Amino acid sequence: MKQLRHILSSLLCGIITTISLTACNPDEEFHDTPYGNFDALWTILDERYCFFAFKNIDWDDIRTRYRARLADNMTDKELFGVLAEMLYELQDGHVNLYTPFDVARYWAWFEEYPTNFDKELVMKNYLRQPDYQIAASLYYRVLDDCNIGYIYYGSFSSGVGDGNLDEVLLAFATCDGIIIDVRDNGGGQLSTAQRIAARFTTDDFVSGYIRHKTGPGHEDFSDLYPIEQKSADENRMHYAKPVAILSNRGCYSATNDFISVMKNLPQVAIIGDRTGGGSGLPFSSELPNGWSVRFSACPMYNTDMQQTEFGIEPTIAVALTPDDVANGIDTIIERAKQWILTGE
Amino acid sequence: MTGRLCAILSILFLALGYIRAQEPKRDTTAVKLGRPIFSSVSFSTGRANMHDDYLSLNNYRGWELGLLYEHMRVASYGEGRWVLRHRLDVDAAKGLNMSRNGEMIAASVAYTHGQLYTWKFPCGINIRSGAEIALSGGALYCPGNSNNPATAKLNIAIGLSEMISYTWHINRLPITFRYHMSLPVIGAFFSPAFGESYYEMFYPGNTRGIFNCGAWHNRFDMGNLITIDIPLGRHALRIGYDNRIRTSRADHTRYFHYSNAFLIGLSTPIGRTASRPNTLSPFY
Repeated sequence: MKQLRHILSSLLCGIITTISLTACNPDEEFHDTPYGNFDALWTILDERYCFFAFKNIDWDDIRTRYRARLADNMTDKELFGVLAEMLYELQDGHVNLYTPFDVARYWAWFEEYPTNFDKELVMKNYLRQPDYQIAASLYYRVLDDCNIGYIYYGSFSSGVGDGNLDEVLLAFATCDGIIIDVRDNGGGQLSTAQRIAARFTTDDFVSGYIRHKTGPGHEDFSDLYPIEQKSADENRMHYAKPVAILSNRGCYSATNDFISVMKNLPQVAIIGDRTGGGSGLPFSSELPNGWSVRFSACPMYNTDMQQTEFGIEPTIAVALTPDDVANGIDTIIERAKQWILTGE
Repeated sequence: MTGRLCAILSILFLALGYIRAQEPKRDTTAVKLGRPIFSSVSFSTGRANMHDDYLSLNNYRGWELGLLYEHMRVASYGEGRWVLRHRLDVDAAKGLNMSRNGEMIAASVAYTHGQLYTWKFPCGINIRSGAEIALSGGALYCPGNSNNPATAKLNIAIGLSEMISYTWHINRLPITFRYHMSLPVIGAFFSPAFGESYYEMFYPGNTRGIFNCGAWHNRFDMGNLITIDIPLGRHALRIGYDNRIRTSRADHTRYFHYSNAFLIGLSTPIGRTASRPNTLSPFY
């Protein structure tokens, strides 16, 4: 009986201890103060941002410089100003800080360059609005003065299904080639980019590489892992004739990846301007005050194992000329037509 | 690592089987004893505190709802000293961050099967101790995130299952108190690598290192269940407290999900059934 009392008293102590441990909620690592939020943001990026070494950024120095600008009594907007400037140092379009009153951003990758795209001109003179078709978010028609199919796809966030692709490619089956215009397409779902690319190859091939951080150190990465671009199922429409992809600085993220993949195919030419880049797959986290931060977490590489964070050069570099625009002509589309029809 | 884990699991279950085999053979001339099933369905509600570095640095606190089904029966072997226990939990939780402008949603399903050996003491207290296997799956979801909106939780473990029960008779009304503790010891669990996206796992198919061998150094789970069964008509009213601790620390990613919930439900009439002659009860 004495032994039982010992067992029971030990058990009771155990129960009380464990329940107490869980009843006391562990504190957050960072506090909701200007310094706490700053430290949280700096630490999230320090441990998880993937381009410090590639961009040769001294993140410790940045911390010292920007933390000195904090004050306990600063307002949210003042704090946001400091944090936004600090994030701007990363020069990364995938880095954002979302607050109820503003979004910190780096958009120099397209704002500092010619747009090389006039959507109104394309809609009026090439898609001949309203005389074009829409399959999911693909705007398409056969161009007026030649036997070339034209597709405008404005966002990889807008889903495109296999049935949509079958219909569009069937409509262009007898065309001499297709122009896929992804100018100003800021990205979206990588899986959509791969679903579209799958229609232009009959063989599976390694289209690039991906890696991820394995720890908080700036150089803690996994090995490069190959990304295989698969061909669409045999019963799906494929297209083997020339394909011109139109690009500009507004092509970012998943669009950049789409162009990187398509550039590997022999019947494909990238025509227009250099892409905007954005090869880091973004993750999100949150500051103690609830502001959300987005950042590049997993770098992606082309088939040469090179970063495409700062964009991809086109096969044929062409800019929109003011004279052509004034005459209702899209210089880049015209150059794509020429390439499809002549191969040059 | 997985092979080693399978070997350990196999050895533990073989050991359990060996212990059972050492039990004295049943006396076939004895009166055949009934082994009624003691089952209960309970609804729980309480507070949850959740955190996963993969999704956010913040902790999320809020409510938790759950449904618990428990099934217990004395085993057909072991002279009435072994009790089989099945438990199925379905839980959902939703929490807010400390600034109350970001949320995390969690859902999980867990099943445990345990076998417990009985020690009966003259004072009426019964202590049962044994092992259990636990399988669980679920997910945490942060709606505001980009390519890491959610993370899956998969876990298999074996561990200790301990129970103590006592029945008071108040005006001949048997009121049964029971405390049960689940303490997984070793197993395996899924955890994405520190910065790995689910895209990388599912599309290119990089699944290296996503399953971890789990032991107390990187995974500590515990369940504490206290119930009181009060006969009520043909059934028994069950009220109680359910405390669950789920934690892991793998690939520099810290996860915890603590919950403290009040539960209420219906169970089979423990006292009434147990008071019948020639029955074996997992509580008495």
